[in-house]
This record gives sequence, C-alpha cells and structure tokens, in this order.
Amino acid sequence: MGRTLPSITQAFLQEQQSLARFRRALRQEDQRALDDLLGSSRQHLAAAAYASHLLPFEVMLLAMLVEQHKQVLHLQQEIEVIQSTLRDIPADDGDRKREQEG
Amino acid sequence: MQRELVSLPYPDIPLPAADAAMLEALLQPRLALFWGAHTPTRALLAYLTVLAARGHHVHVFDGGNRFDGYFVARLARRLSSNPRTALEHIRLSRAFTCFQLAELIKTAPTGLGTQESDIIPDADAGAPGPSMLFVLDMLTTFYDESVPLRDAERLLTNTIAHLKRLASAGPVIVGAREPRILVKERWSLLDRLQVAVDAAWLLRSPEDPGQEQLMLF
Amino acid sequence: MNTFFGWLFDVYASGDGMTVWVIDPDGQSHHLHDTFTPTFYAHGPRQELRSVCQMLRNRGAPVTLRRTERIDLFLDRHIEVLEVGVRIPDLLPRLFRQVADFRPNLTYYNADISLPQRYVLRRGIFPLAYCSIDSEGRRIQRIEALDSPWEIDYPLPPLRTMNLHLSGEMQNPGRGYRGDLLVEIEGNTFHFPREHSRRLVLGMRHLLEHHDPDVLISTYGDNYILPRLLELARHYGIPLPLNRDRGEGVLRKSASSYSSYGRVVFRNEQHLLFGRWHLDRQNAFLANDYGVDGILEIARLSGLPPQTVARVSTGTGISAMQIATALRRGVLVPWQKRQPESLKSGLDLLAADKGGLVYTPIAGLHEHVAELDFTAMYPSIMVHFNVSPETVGAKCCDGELIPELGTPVCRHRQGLVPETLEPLLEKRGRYKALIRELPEDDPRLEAYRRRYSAHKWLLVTCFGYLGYKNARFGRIEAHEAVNAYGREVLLRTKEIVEARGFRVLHLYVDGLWIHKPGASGRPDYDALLNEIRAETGLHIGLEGVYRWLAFLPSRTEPRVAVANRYFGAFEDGSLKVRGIEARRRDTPRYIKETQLAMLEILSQGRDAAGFCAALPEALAFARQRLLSLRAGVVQADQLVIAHRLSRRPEEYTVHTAAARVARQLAETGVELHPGERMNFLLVPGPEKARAWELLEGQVPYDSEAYGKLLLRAVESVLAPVGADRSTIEMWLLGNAGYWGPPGALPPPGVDIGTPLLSRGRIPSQVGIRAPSALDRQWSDFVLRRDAFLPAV
Repeated sequence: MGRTLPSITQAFLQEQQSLARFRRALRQEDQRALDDLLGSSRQHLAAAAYASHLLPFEVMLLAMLVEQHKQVLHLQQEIEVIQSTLRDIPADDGDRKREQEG
Repeated sequence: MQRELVSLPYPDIPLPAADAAMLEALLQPRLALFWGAHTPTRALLAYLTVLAARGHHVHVFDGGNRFDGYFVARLARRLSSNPRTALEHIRLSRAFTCFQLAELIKTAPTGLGTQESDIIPDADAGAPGPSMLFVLDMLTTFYDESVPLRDAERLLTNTIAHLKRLASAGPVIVGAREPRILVKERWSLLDRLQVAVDAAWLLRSPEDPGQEQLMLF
Repeated sequence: MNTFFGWLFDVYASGDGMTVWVIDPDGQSHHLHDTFTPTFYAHGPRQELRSVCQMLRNRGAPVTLRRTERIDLFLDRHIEVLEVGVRIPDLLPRLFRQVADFRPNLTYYNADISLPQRYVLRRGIFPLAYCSIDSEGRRIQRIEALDSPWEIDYPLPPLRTMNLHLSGEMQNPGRGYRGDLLVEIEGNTFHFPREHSRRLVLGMRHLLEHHDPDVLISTYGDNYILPRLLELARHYGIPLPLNRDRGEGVLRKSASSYSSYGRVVFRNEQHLLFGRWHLDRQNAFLANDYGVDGILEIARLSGLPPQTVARVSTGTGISAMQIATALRRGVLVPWQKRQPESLKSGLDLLAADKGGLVYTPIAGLHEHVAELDFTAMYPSIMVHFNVSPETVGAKCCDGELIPELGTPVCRHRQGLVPETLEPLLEKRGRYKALIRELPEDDPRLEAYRRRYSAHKWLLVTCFGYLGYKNARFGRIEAHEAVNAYGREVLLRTKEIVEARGFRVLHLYVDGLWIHKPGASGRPDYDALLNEIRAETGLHIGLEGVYRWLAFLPSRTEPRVAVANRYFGAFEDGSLKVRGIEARRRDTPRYIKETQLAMLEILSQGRDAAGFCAALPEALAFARQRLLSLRAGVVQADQLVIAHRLSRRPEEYTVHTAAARVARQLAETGVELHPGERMNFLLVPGPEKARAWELLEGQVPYDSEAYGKLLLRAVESVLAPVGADRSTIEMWLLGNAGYWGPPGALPPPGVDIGTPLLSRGRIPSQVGIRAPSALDRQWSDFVLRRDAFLPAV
C-alpha cells in the first residue's frame, strides 16, 4: 500500500532544505563541511525510520554525532600507531654519537 | 454563503497561529470547504495542528493518504507545544476507496462521540469546545475512474447528507481538489459539494498570482 | 448413463447453465452442459430486503430467494442475509446490477466473482482436474475430481497446439509492422502471404477444422492476428471457427490503462476463445518466467481458467485463492471495499506507518561475504504469526502482541489469509527440495522450476494484496502488522549474527549480508542459520557466499551508498546483479551484454584482490566494445531502447527522446496508451530518436550518444574501485599511459613507460587525485578509502 507519511529519506531531505539559508551564508569551505555532516547522517536512515521519532531532526543530529565519533576513534587509532612507530625508530648515528660523546 | 480568497503560503512555513480570525471562523459549527486546483491538505494540516495543540480533539478522515505526521510534529514544536500532545489529540482514519470514506462519514456519531479516557498531559486549558472533523482530500477517491460516475454521484449525495448531520453538532472542514482537466464529467462531484456547504474558500497557489480566481456567484 | 474420465478444460456460462469442456485421455474433446445456480447476498433492514424480493418477483426474474446466515469477516460474526440464487448463471451480472441500482444503500456480497470460478468451487473441481463424469447425453449428472491441486506431479491432457505468428522479425504489428501469417501445427508450417487475404482466411479455416487444436499460442494474437483474421472473415463472409463452440463469438476485451501504486499499468486488449484456449506470448504477464507450466499450475490452484490466468497480474490469482477459502468457510466476499481503518491516534500512525528495514550499505568492494535470506518472508510471517484481517486487533482471546505496535493478534483460530497461504508455502517448499535433489537431466525438472516460479509470484503479490485498496480482504492494520513482524525478525537476526562476531554490511527487508574474517565457506554458517531459525520461527537460508561483492554509491550523492545497487560473484562463479544497467529494462542489449561480460571476467577473481587483478582484462574488453560502437559497426537491433510510456503522447511537454518517438508513432496512426512499451533507436541529427518500427534498412545510429551510455555502464562496474568518469574516459579513449591529473608528479617507483592497462596494479593507487586538493573529490576519496579500511 502506498505509505502515508513521507519516507524517512524525504523527512531528512526536508530538514536539509530547511537549513538552506543557514548553509547559504556560510563560507564555501564551511559549506562543504556541513554537506559532509548532512551526508554522513544518511548512513543511518534505517535506524531513524525504525525509531519513529516525532522530530526526525533530533535523530539526524545524533546520527551525525555517531559518524563524527567514529572518525575521532579512527584518528585516535591512527595517531597511536604513528606514535608507537616513531618511538620504535632508532635515533640516527649523529645523535647517538653526540649522546655517547656528550 | 461567503466566497473568500486565501492565498496559500510557502509550503513549509506554517500559517501563523495568530491568524485568529481564520481559526475563529473554523470553530463555527458548520460545514466548511477549502478547495483549489490541488487539494489544500498542507493548509488544513496546519490548522488542525494549531487546534490540536491547543487541546481540541480533532478527528481526521484522510481520503488522500497524505497525513504528514512529521509536519504536524514540527509545527507543534514551533508553536512551543509538546508535539506528543498535538498528535495524541488527533484521531485519524485513512480511506482508500470512496466506499470507505463514505462509510467513515456515515458511521461517525453526531458530536463525534466522547473521547476515550486518554490522560492528556499539559493540555492548554482543558478541551475547549466540541470535537472537530477534518476531511482531507475528499474527492480524489470519488474521481476514481473504476467507480461509475452515477455510483459516485449517488454515494456523494448520501455522504454530504451525513456531513451536514455532523456539522450540526460541531465544525466540519472539508478539503477537496478539482478533477484533472481531461476528466470533464467528474466536475459534477465538486459542484455538488460546493453547493452544499455553508462556507467555502478557494485557495490559489502562489505560482499564479495574476490569475483571475473563479467566482461562482 | 455414460461414465468416462477426462480433464476439465474449459468452463463458461452459456444458454441457461454452464458449458463444460472435457478432454479425455485419447485427446478427444467432449462438449457438456450443467445446471448451476450462483448466488449473491444482500444485507440490510428487513423492509428493504423485502422490497428487493418483491421487485424481483414482479419482474419474473428466474431466482430463488431465501433468508440465511453467513459470516462477515470484518465484523467477525454471522449476519443475516438475503440469498439470491440466479438460476440462469449468465444473467447474474445484469440482475445484480438491477438490484444494486434499486436499493443502492444495502450491503452486497459475492456479487462479482467470476462464473467459471464459482462453478468449479461449487462442484469441488478445478481447471485441469482429472475427473470422473457421469453424463446423460450432454448433461452432466455428476462430476468429481480424482486429483488435487496440491499434488506435486500430475498428468496433463494431451493437447494439440497451433502456433500463430507473423513472418520476419518479431516486431509489434500494433506499431505498424506487417507480415505474412505463419501457422505451425503437428510438425508442419503453413505460410500464408498477406496479399492473398482470402486464401489466408480459407486456409486458416481449413487448418482449424482439420486439426481441431486445443490451444492456440500466438505472438501478437491479442492485438493483431486474431482481430485481423476476424475482420477478414467478416469481409469475405467466410465463417472462421476460432472457437470450438460454434454457438459463441470470440470474446473481445478492449485495452485499458490504470494506475497502481503510482505507476501506470497498461492492459492490452484480449481475444478469448470458447472450448479452446488462446494464449498470446506477447500478452502473458510473466510467461517468460513461468511459461505454460506456470499458467496451468496457477489455474489449478486458483480456480481461474488458463486464458484468464495468462493475462491478468498474479494479484488476481492470490485473490481468487482467498475467495475460494472464504466460500468454503461461509465467509462473505465484500463487493465494494468499504471497511475503513479503525481510528488511531497521530502517534500510533507514526509508529505504524513504516516499511521494512533497509540499511544504507557500507559502500565499496568486500570479499567473502555471506548473504542470508528469509524464505518468502512476508507470507511466512502471515502464516506463522497468524496475521489476517480478522485476527489483527481481535478481542476474542488473549492474543500475542505485535512488536512495536502492541495490538493483539488472535491465536486460537487460523485466519483466512494464513489458511490460504499455508498449503501454498508448503507445496512450494517441496518443489524447492526436489529441484535441489534431482539430477539436471531429469525430465520433470523444468516443469518443477516453472511451477516454483509461479508460486513465487503468487506469494510475492499476496503481501501487497493485504493492504491494497481493491483487495477484498485487505486491511491496512494487517499490512502494518506484517511489516512490524518483519522488522522485529530482522533485528533479532542482526543481534544473533553480531553476537557471533559477524559484521552486518547490509540489511534489506528480508535479507542480510554479513562478514567475519575467517568465515568463508558454507559450513561456517550452518550453526548460525539454525540459531536464527530457532529464535525467529521462520526459515532462513544461505543464498551464497560471495568471492567479492560491491555496494555502489549513489550517482547523485556519492557519499552515500544505495540500498539496491550492487553486484557480486558467488563461490561457484555465478553472478548476482541488482540495480545497474544490466538489470534495467530500458538498457540496450549491446550495453547489457558488455556490462555482464565485464562482470564475468571479474568473477574470475577469487577475492577483492582478484577482482582488481582482473580489471585490466575487463577494461580491455570494454575498450573493444566501445571502439566498435563508435565505429558504427554494431547491429542496430542490439541498440534498441525499450521505454514505457508514462502518459498519453499529447501530454508530454518536454521533448525527450521518448516524447518524440511517441509523437512519430501517433502521427502514423498508432494508438498509444500510458503503460505501453515503445522501442526506439537513437539516431544522429535533429531527430534524435526514431521508433523502431518506422526504421527501414540500415540506419546509422547515434554512436556518440550510445558511447555515453556505454561509458555510464562501465562506470557502474568500476565504481567500487573509485574510478570516476573522466578517469574511465582516459583509460578507454585516451592515452593508456595516463595515470594522474595534469601537473602532478608520478609517485616514486611508477614506470611511466608501460601503459596502464597492461599493469596488474590495484587501480585505487593510480588515477586518484592527491588528497590535499580541496575539491569535491575529497569526500569521494574518503568514501572510497573507507572501503579498504579493516573492520573497526
């Protein structure tokens, strides 16, 4: 049966459209960041639909936070890897000599 | 009978709740019609949301399958009201054939019955006034070509009689659209409805501001 | 008194009763007659019912009238009704109309069930049942079915088949194509040139009389061959015995368009015969899927005659089965659907008006992915949880509560819909097992496959039917219940799967795609499947394990993947493809084949790395295909585009290719309806496109336009490795040594002398712009890069 309520995708799009003026006044690079955020919320449409939250925008914000947090965790991981790699690199000969001498 | 013009606002900006005159007009116990080239469901949804948010019990018979619950919730929130409350005050049934719509209207009790004992938290000053009935997109199912015109006409006449019965006890607001241009014979259905109501508003879409509106009398 | 045996072949109202055709084991047809009194019912105030009786008596209508009780399913109780039995079946529709016009406010039941279906149900038989018949002359005294529609194997009557089609390519005469008539029967082919039309009619008559075929199978018989034959027969005054029953004329139903779920569906005109079947290959709903075997299986199960089954959508088949169950139970079949939804609050609507769960898949190229699918999920839910119009919200017992919605569902008696579906599911399961077990050369296999396919279509439409506005027993609360159970089952499955260490890559209504490092073969999943079956009560199966699988990004929003665009290769090398050009009906054959061939090449790869390693070969192939296309040497019939009209030709406002072609055809006098298909070719010049039937000889096609379409198809295949359009164009059309944007230096170690296509490198390392460039590609790059990240 054709459904009655707008689909969750449509609801998200409506929220996006209502932010059009806000977006317009942003700088270009900030616009891109906003687009990324809005795009990332689309990863969780199914969960938003299932939630049947009265105000989809609230769930949209939460979805954006989830994606952002994942990126943060990922970056943390990468940093740890880089740090431990740096720790394992032996100091170069010049430094060692200076250490030994000094 | 009045013939007034109200221009349709931008699709997402709701009608101001402060349009007290219109709301006052809606609360009269009579049969009112909003019509246009497209069915004015958005406008009616906005009105009924405002009323539901204020504590009125609103019955909605949806003949167009377009009840946008998210729109209602968003608008209720903007009116600084709890969206839950507004939605709880709305009792809805969807009809997909004109027979279903007719059955809904025929079996609706005059006065729309007492509400079931729902606890209504933080309602604005008790339930003011009788329950209201909104019929959204009344005629689309009657325009269905698989229903012979004479059956549709007969059914509509009967249904209108019941709408009048309901209007005697409380406000009944009906939204309807014109049939598609290529379907000439179904105009008789809209005519019947227009003749029967106590008050009517034609809604123009903002896209054609210069067009002469249709004055019927 | 004569007793004999045979198959029920055709049934229709005629004279003062029903005509019944039976074919015996020798292939002999028997023309019999039976009396029959079909009934309809009226409900309302006694006074009104009395007036109806009075009216009927005054008009001397041949009816029997009595007061009785039957069950109204929606009220869930017996009601008192007036039963009107019409002794001359043929008069029922007209008589009913008179009664309904006389007292339109009464509630009517069983008013528009087809007469053949009524008859077979009353007698306890079904189309193609093997029966024993006692007859007195032509009159049937007793008829009894000796087999059942639920049998797996059943003998079919020996049928003489006559094939009718036009000479030349199978073009649509409805678009102006003309040809000679070719008739095939009993191994011989007869060729009737169209210029000698009188001879054509005489020849046709002779063949019909001499061979007396049981079945006419035509190509374009409904919209051209039969009406043309009838026209010629009238013109020459030569009677043409298309019907076996000379007392009847050929039944013509005109074409119509109607809208369903927002789409326009076109129903072609029909020419139906009496005592003989006419099946039109071009006008059979899903005949390509399930053929005559499937048509006959649905006829046996639904009680509808095969000519009808071949032409209607399968929604009608499942509806007929529900009606059969209703009649057996004494349940009234509503005439006009008037039962509305029960009032619900706005909050309840928000909670209930949802569909199945559909994830946004994790885009990119994956490997060793398992796809798990619930078998016939929605019908199984209806049976297992007893979802039916009269059980949802019933107050008769302490029912099970529907998840999320909280409405109770009756558990102590089986609903009408589950009762209808259960034996169908069971039979389907038996065919499935047999198909798996039997060796490939078993002669029964083909028939089983076709019947299985027919069942699939019956079951698929039954869900839509539960809420669809014209479904007699449709009820939106039941539809919502099924959706709610579906979501719950899928979520519980996800929980089980994740608890066992799997990651859910994608989830779609009744299936999910999962992955766990180390799990790559079928045995790894047996325990999992058992646990899911135990927990949900529904049957879930392993569709397959993919060597590699790609979920594609959206064309308009590349950051986001699309739920139903993907392709993958299973362990056995077979492909599964969804949503891309190869699966779209309007894609020209040449492009479809190119895309599929590319995927076949890629399917040689046993994992993601293998996929990438096979890319150069796939690209080289695509390059050849593209160059042939641009050189203009491809056959035009490989480039035909099929388009479905969404409106009448005069309603088009923009000059799309489709609009132009529609107008061309309209100008030659062809009548086109919304929902009908048009075939056309893109041609160079201002015309842009020309209708296929209006092309003569060798016409050049617009190689540039088709080239663009081919590139688009290639783009879909390469999307998982992140090659965008301009990169592909470079690879296929430009210098194959190109590897990066202008001005950028090659990464160290790159051999700029060797052309790109002959390297076996993972293309993701080549051709992607440097990430520091602050442009739109940045987010695309991030998306694609994520595809290669290990599971977090």
